Amino acid sequence: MTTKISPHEGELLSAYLDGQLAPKERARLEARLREDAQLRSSLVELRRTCTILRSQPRLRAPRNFTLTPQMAGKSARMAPRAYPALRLASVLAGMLFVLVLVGDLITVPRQSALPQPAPNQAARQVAPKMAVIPTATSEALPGLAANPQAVAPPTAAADTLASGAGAPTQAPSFAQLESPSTPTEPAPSMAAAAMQKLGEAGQTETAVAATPTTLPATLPLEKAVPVSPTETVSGIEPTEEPTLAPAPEPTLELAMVPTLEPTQAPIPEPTQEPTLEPTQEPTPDPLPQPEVSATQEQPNPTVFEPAYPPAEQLPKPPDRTILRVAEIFMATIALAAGLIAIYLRRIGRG
Amino acid sequence: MDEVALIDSARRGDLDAYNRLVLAYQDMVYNQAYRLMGSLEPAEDATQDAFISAYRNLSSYRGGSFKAWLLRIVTNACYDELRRQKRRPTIPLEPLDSEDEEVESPRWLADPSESPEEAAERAELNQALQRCLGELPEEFRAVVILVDVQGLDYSEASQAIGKPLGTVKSRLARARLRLRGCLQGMWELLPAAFRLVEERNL
Repeated sequence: MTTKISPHEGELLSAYLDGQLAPKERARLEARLREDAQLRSSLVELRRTCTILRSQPRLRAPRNFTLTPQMAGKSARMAPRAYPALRLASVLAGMLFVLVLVGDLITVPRQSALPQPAPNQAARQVAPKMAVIPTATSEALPGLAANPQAVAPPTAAADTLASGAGAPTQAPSFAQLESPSTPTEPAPSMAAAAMQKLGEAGQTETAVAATPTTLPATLPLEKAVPVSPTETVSGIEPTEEPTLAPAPEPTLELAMVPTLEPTQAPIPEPTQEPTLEPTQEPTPDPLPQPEVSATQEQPNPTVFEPAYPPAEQLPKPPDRTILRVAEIFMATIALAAGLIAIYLRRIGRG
Repeated sequence: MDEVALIDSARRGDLDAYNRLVLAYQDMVYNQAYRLMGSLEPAEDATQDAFISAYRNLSSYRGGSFKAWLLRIVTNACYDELRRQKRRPTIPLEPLDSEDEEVESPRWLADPSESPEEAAERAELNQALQRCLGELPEEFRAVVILVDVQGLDYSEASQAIGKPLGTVKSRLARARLRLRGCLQGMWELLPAAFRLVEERNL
């Protein structure tokens, strides 16, 4: 049976067995041992325990544990050193990636607010083209195929148009300019929409019979006609720009005017009348000057007002690409460093 | 070549010098690992790990007992391995005999110079001791192995566990008291020569 002793007594006996007690302590303990049989038997049991422990044979190493150059090699040695650096790099790159990404995401709404005018422009620029295309296709086909004879009379018609109706002639000119280059596929839908709008406009007076004759007439007049429409265009804009500064409304009208008129040709009166009067007055003088600028920059006047935001936006796209490149860079570094670190750790552990 | 010179050479990257140190200490390191781990193969792994780790960290050896420094490294390696085992408990594979019965006392633990009876007794005692050691908390186990199995003095043991002398003293005493209870009845298994020596000392 084991005898109960306090931890302190156990410590004393243990140290006594190892000869680790100071002489005074040792003398005191020996005196107690002589009197206290229980303490004595505890000492015997402890000594036996130590004897058992010391009696155990030392095992021989089953093999030599000498290191091979590979075990001590530099590649193995590099692993633990490179590992923390790579881990740190991975974490830092990961954090930077998140920062850049968050910055990118935060700035995105601001960018989406700015380009809003741009889509409008695009829409405006596209709208007349799209609107014109159907007219071109619908007119060009009959014009070329059916009415080759109409070469002469159209000129007269065109003259009358040029002098009488500025706006309508403008549209055919566009049709002629853009019809060869632009695809005709999206046309039908747009044409149909334009037709519907016409119908809605309530212009029932439009003589359908007249359109085929006049429209094909303009087709062969590619060189002659552009002059007059541009005049009218140039004539329209100066009148409207000062009065209607905000771009969207006039541009919409502009966009609509060519779409409406070429399809149903020169006749629509209510649309023409407001444009006719102002156009004819300025035409004599400003004709040649704005001619070139207006024909080529026809969409531009609409662009002018929203042109400021795009000008500010221009530097931003490169910024954004830099951001994107930075994001990809950070993510790649984070991934690569992390993977290499894991790989090195595997190697290090063997 | 003395130990200090070998250590210096090893520190400068002389692997041969280091391997001579390995050969000198491998039995001690292996025994420490075996007593701490309680089984042979993990002890072998821990020993190899300890020597590799010691070579890589030679610069952290700042004089003192090289033996104690090595024992500290292997002790820590065993702690790591034991913690890993706790996280992933495994069933140890005992060797099987021809009838698929587990061999409780593997032959390689026996000293061939002994008679079969003595060997059996010793193996039984060894097993009992190992079981009792295994029941001790790790830090108590390490100290009692260092002092009573490896024969280190208190100051060396204090270096080996990186704790002050007082800690060594108290842990050693508590470990011995616990082992005393666990090893009750094992006394008769001790070889007669030990008993005689023991009784003469009383």
